[in-house]
Amino acid sequence: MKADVVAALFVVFLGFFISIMSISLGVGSFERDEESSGMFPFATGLGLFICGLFQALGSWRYPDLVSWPSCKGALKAAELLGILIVYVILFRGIGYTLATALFLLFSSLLLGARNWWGILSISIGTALLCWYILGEMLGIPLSAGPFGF
Amino acid sequence: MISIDFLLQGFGYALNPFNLLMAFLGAIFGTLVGVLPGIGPTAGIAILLPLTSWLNPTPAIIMLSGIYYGAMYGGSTTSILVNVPGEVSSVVTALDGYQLAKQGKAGVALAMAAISSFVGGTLGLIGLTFFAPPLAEAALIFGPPEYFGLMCLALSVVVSLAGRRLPKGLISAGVGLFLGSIGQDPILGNARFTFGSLKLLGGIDFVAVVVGLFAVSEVMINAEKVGAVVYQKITRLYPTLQELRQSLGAMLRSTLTGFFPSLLPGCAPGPISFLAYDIERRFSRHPEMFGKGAIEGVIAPEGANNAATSGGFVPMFSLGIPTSSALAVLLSALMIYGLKPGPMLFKERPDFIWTVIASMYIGNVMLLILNLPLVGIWARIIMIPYHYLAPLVLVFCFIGTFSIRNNLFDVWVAILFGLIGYLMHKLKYPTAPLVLAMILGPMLEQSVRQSLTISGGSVYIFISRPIALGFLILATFAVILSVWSRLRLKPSNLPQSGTD
Repeated sequence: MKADVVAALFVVFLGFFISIMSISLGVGSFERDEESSGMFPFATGLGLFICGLFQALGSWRYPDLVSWPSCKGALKAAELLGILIVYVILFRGIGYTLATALFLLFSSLLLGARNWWGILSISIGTALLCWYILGEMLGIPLSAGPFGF
Repeated sequence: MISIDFLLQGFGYALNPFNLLMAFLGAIFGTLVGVLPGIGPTAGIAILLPLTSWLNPTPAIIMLSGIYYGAMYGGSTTSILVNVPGEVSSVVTALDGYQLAKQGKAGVALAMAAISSFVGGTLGLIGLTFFAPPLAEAALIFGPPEYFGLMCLALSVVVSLAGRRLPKGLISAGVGLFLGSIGQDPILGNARFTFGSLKLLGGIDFVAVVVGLFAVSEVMINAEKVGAVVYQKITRLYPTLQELRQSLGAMLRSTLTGFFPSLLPGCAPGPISFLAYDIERRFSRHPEMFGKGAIEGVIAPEGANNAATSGGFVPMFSLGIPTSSALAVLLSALMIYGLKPGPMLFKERPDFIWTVIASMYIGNVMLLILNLPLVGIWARIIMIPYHYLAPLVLVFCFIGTFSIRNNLFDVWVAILFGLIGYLMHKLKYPTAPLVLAMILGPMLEQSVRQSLTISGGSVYIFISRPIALGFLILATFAVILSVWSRLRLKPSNLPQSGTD
């Protein structure tokens, strides 16, 4: 199935889900002076449901469908996202400075950097500079980790 | 006359050394954002917005505004020297700018781009000084029904931000409206879509969404396509008096072309620069030279996009309507600082508004200086390999999002929206309508519910009030005009995803 159709069907599902959730909040009636929290999200969900259906039908009918992203490109983006997720997980465990240096090192390598002197100096230099400016000067409570930085 | 008095007072505050420093930093960051391909003004403001949280509102907005108009200056440098537009509104500058550079006239092209940007930007600011206050004054009588009409007019921007794909733009806006409704109900205080999470009770942090959608996703997209650039040397930099005199007409025409459309919702600097180029070609005695190295082909888009940038602040400051995605992010910055853009801003915080406007005049002078003698340095920045730049951008995104509430939850939100933004880009869903709807959604809901409460549930209130009706007619007209012009134009002439 084409990516465009899958995305449109997801929107249909999302619209349906929002509408059902809104009904549970209460849609209310202004005629009877009953205001409820679900009225506006219900209208939004209904709109998404209709637009999603319209888009799904349009994607089915017309040939210029959007294809799935190429595997090679998507893989690089996914790897970068993966490194970013590991960075956030490590942030509390090993401390901001070390996690940042490791993140910069591995993401630079992933994106094609091969000059080790450049990679190491930028990774360590940026991590230390950020720690000093943001943590020490601006007082942002960055995680210290086991080594105290 | 009153505007001038306030403006002079604003200059008094803007010339304070710290505000001057912020204007200078904004100009530097803005030029940098404009020079670097792949990081537009929207992403630039999104990245730096959380890092300004330790500042007072006035210096913070001075700096963030500087990024917006500074990016318009910087974008032309790489367009001319390396044929790589730094941001959308400089795409058309590359057509003639790069041809001039290949003919050995890079210096003159760069100088004319900077001077035209300065003229367009400064005349646009004069327009802002005189147009915004009366507009805000007129808007003081607005009640909930009028605000509902105004919000509908602002949301009509979605149609033009949607680019070629209207249903996708509407879906994107729908998702934004939904995201805006997460958290506490603004009137009754009930929890909505929080699934029992206390972190969601205050709503999804807007900055995390913007950083994810515009900065993280942008890095992911650009990580796929890293290429080499060919750099043209800079020769004679300063134009002669005769060259300046010959270009004056084009500068003034492009300023008018840029300023007036920018007052309307949906007219962002990007499309306006194309319009100005087309108008200048029609006015030219040598239209055949366009695309082969006509200096007017550089002057027109640069003057127009800077005038449009200044003009875009008129509806934003006086009515609270952002006319482009970058202004939508800037609007959110104002709201983060507890400032409600709209008519009351001129009444309640004249010190803030006039200091920011005055700082823009100063910022334009700074940018002219930064972009003339220092142009060579900016051009070399593009040589920074993307494999070093991209991870640094991500680190700033991370720390910026974290620093708002010192909360890792916001960082996870930014990463999630980075992925969503990447998928939206791949599936050709515009992201700007999502941001706009997320900002306007709560205001729209509040105004519609208050109006219906006043009228006892009758929707007649929206058409019985002349101003509300006028806005609704204008909104309908704007939608019809956008759809009609879309049907008339060839698909290739429409922006891919609006004005991202």
